[in-house]
Amino acid sequence: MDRTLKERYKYTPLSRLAAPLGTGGGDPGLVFAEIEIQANACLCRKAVATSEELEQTIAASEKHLAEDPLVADNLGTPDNRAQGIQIDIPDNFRADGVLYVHLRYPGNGGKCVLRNTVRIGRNAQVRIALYQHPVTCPDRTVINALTVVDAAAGAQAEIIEVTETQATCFGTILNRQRGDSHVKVTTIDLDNALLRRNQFIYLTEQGAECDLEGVYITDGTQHCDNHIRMYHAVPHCTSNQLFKGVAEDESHAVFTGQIHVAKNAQQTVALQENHNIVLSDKAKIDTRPQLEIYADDVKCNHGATIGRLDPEAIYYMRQRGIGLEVARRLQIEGFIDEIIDHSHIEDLGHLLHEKVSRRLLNI
Amino acid sequence: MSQNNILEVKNLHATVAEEGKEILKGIDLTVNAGEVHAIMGPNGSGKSTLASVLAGNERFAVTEGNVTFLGRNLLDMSIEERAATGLFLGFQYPVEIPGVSMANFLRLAMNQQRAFRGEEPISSGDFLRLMRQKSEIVELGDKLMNRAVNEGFSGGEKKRNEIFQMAMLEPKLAVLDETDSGLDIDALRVVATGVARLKRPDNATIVITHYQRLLDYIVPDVVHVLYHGRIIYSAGKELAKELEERGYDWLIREYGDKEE
Repeated sequence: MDRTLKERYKYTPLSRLAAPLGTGGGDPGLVFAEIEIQANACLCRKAVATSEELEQTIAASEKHLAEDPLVADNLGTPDNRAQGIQIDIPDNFRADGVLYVHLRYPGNGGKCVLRNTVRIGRNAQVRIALYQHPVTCPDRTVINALTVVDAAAGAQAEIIEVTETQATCFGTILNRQRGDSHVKVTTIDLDNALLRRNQFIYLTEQGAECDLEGVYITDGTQHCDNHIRMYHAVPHCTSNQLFKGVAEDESHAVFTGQIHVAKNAQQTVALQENHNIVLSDKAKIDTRPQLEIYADDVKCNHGATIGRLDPEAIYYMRQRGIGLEVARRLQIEGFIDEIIDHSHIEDLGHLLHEKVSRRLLNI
Repeated sequence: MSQNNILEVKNLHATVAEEGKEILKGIDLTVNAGEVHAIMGPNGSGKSTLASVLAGNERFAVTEGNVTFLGRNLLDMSIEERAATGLFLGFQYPVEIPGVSMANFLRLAMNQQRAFRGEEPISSGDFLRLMRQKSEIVELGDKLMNRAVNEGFSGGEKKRNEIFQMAMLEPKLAVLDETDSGLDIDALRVVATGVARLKRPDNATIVITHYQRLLDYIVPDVVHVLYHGRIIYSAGKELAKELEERGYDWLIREYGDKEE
């Protein structure tokens, strides 16, 4: 790994893996994910995305991207093994409802490689919910999913990814956005032994807008690492990042948010916020805002906080008769809910509220 | 102790838990059902500390004395147990809880109190009806119910919200800690009439205040003057007026701690 990559993977404990990354899935006994697609199936299918196709997208995005260990690992897998979902929304098509994609992994463990592509045509609209379900052998399963989102001019997409695999869950989301497209990606990381997610966003034509929001909850010895690289290549693009995390026990959560504003990308608006609550003395949060701004007429804000639960609020709730544990949970939920409430997928909102509440019962 | 005794405080001493500084230096106070007590006194005399200690705030440690609440030892109870038993504290600075809606918060509070007392939870319909009915008492609009607890509320709205919660929870003893501070005259009237309307023969109120003006609306049965952690003087409602006119100095000279 060269120095830049080393820095990007500074906090990700890749040493926890049994086999090194970058070699692809060499295991002949490998079984792939079971993909279940609910609703609008005509727009979404299981398919094989070839390495060449992805390599081309990656080559067009950033020179070093192929060297990223997760991407290299995914591309290193022989083509016929790398299934995934392929979503194609035709130009001007407004997909009703939500496309649900359930990813279930084989019971015997192993490395599961997925290559997903989402193409959204000009002025098309879609909402996608991707679930990474719990696996049966968390200690023997490594997931590595590469998802490429290609948003044409005027396209609008909302993508929610929920991970509760309990296993090692790697992923790269690569957005390429054209003019006036608006993509929102929300990631809800509830329960994973080791998670590392890259989000590489390329705003390549004027008027493109990207919102990234996320929640992560860790406990035990879990590690959760969200790594954003927001690339403003041209003028008049907007990006918003809002991530919130809660770490309990000896867990470790990391947020790295790079914003890169190219020299000619004037009138860029790029905002970033990352807020965290640590619940124990041994839990650890690293938050790294990294702004590289080469243009001079831009609006870039970033804010990062790491705090504890507010004892005054807990006292107030208890004075009204709410028990200590419930008061703590209520405050954490209140902290996180903002992000779930932002989602425009209503029935999913209910489910996520429920999932978060249930998750918090265990911490 | 009489049948209708609500609170009995005897020789209560309390310190700031962290630094050990003594704030309450022997409080004696008896509150019976149907009574309104006003506690007045200059800044730093320990008024808010008394309210906090009764509520069970962990910032303070009780070092001596005892407190009986409805025949039970109050000091043995957790904060939430005191609330469920019927103690309500109206906060001087109500706390904002981002992301938690008023309606959710209050319903949870009611149901947790009910569960503690072995009662059935309140139904959604009954809860909504009750909320509508009680919010009228303090002229608090429905719109606040869907907002996060106290978040973005004006000073007056926060205080009215305290009285609204008191109306919903129907405590046996309400301790109102400077509920009148920072209120304009209209908000003060709303808060005060709200409190007056909630007065019943089987409950009691302790009003902690700086100014006599609140007591124009809430007529106290007894007025106590707290100074340096002790109640130095108690009298009827006319004392409030006298304090307004003459200040505290004459009382402090007469009854205050000679060593201070």
